[in-house]
Amino acid sequence: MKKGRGAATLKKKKKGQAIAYRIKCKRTANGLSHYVPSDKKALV
Amino acid sequence: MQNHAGAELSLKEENIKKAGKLLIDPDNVFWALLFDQGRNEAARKKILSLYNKRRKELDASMRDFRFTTEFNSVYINPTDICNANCPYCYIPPSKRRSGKSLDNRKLLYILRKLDKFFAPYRKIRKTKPMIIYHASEPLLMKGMIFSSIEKFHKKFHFGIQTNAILLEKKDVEFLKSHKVSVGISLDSLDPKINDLTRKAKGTTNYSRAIQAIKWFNGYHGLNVITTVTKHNVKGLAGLVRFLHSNKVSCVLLNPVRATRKAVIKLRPGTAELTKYFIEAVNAAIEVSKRSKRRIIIGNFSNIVLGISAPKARRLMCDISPCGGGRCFFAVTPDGSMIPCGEFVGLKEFCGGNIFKTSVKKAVFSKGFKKVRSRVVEDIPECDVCIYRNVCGSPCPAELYSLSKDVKGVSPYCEFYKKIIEYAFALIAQGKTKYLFRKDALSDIKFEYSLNI
Ligand SMILES: C[S@@+](CC[C@H](N)C(=O)[O-])C[C@H]1O[C@@H](n2cnc3c(N)ncnc32)[C@H](O)[C@@H]1O
Ligand code: SF4
Ligand code: SF4
Repeated sequence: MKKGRGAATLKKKKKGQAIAYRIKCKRTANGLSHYVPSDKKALV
Repeated sequence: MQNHAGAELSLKEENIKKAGKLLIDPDNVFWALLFDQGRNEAARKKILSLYNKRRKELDASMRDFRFTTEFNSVYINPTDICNANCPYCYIPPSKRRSGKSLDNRKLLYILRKLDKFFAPYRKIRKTKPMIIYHASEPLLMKGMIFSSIEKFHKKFHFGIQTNAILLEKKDVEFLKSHKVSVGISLDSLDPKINDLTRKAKGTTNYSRAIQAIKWFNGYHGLNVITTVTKHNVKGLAGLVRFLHSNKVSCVLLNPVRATRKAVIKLRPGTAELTKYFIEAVNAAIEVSKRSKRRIIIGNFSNIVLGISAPKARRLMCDISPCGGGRCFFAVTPDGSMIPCGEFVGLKEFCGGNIFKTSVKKAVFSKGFKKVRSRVVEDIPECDVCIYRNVCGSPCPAELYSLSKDVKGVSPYCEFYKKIIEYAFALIAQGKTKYLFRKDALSDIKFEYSLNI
């Protein structure tokens, strides 16, 4: 996927019929109620 | 709720307000939203074909995510003592009054032992494991923990969760320069409301927390925890706006857990909680849209991740088995190793004493295994819920404290259903980009995507 096109996939098209996706990611799990900040490339 | 007609028995259907028709496989969280009431047969066919193609892979990925044990963090409670007395606190009041503390020698012993325990993890993940100084109030042992951070910063990432009462400007500089992740507790913008739940003798955490937030001045590693009760629930959106204007990039709005009977009466009502939580989510989106900076409601973004990138979850409360005794554990000042800080005081879950037994022994102890074996499939009601692998029915410690059984339906079940549906509504409206970090969006990649 080209740079920039990614985020557009998150958006529903005008008059779109359906949407389904899964974002590629590394496993990042790390906590209970404490939110440990991630590296800049992680999703949150 | 009904089975999808035809061969796809594992795909369930649900109409969701402002989102359309949801098709979901609850076991592996494959999902698709069909607009136009799902009447478009060609679109449906494409989804089914995608599902058939991906199903095995998604099953395996979810199995791996849920059932592998891989530790990446340890919570260390340096002291049981606290300089505050919050009525909801899950650390029993008697412990906080007359509790134990670690001394320097013992803390160093623990860190060395954990360093060895994490050696294989470091090799595989090529990253440092995390040590978080946590409950009761870690800053009561400021000198000791700061010197441990200086000593071990090459071995571990460090975090600290605090009420900020003892935090000084020079501490903020120290924490920033050592890239320590910092959580500060603040329940309300209204000092009177904040003081209802964040009580402290002769002082308050209110002005200290706000001062600290200003000192941190947009520090990437800062997050705020707001524990949501019936007292502060109405002010969540206002609080989010305030935090955003003070450059805080992440806040957790955690519904209070009643680990003691007396705390049940502090729980907000489901309808009220849902309404004001969603109002806060909308406020976060609105302020993030208008400015260059974002604010993320961590526990809501985590739900959105649970749907769109399950393995990227940061908090491990909303998957079963949860992260307790599987991705992290906690060490209390007397050396007890427990699956999660919220199990403090529940002896039956103690995996042994770190000064006497190996960490490995704790990992395979009965108490840790009990938490690791808690799955939604064994909980009546959750077993047939389509959101079971997005919600996870938290929290086993809360449920066990009240009923002596970890396998119960979450007291916040209805709330979770509503916010998961809201997450799907935001997905349908293409608003999820405001719930993720900006830098990550520039080169986001997909395992699969269908947008027709
Ligand atoms: C136990 S405190 C320990 C660290 C520090 N004393 C503080 O208050 O931040 C950690 C966090 O857990 C939250 N907390 C305490 N009891 C809770 C409960 N019963 N349910 C949900 N959160 C709770 C607190 O509000 C705080 O944000
Ligand atoms: S400040 Fe933290 S540890 Fe102390 S009573 Fe409040 S929630 Fe509990
Ligand atoms: S607690 Fe409720 S929403 Fe969560 S899995 Fe169980 S039934 Fe589903």
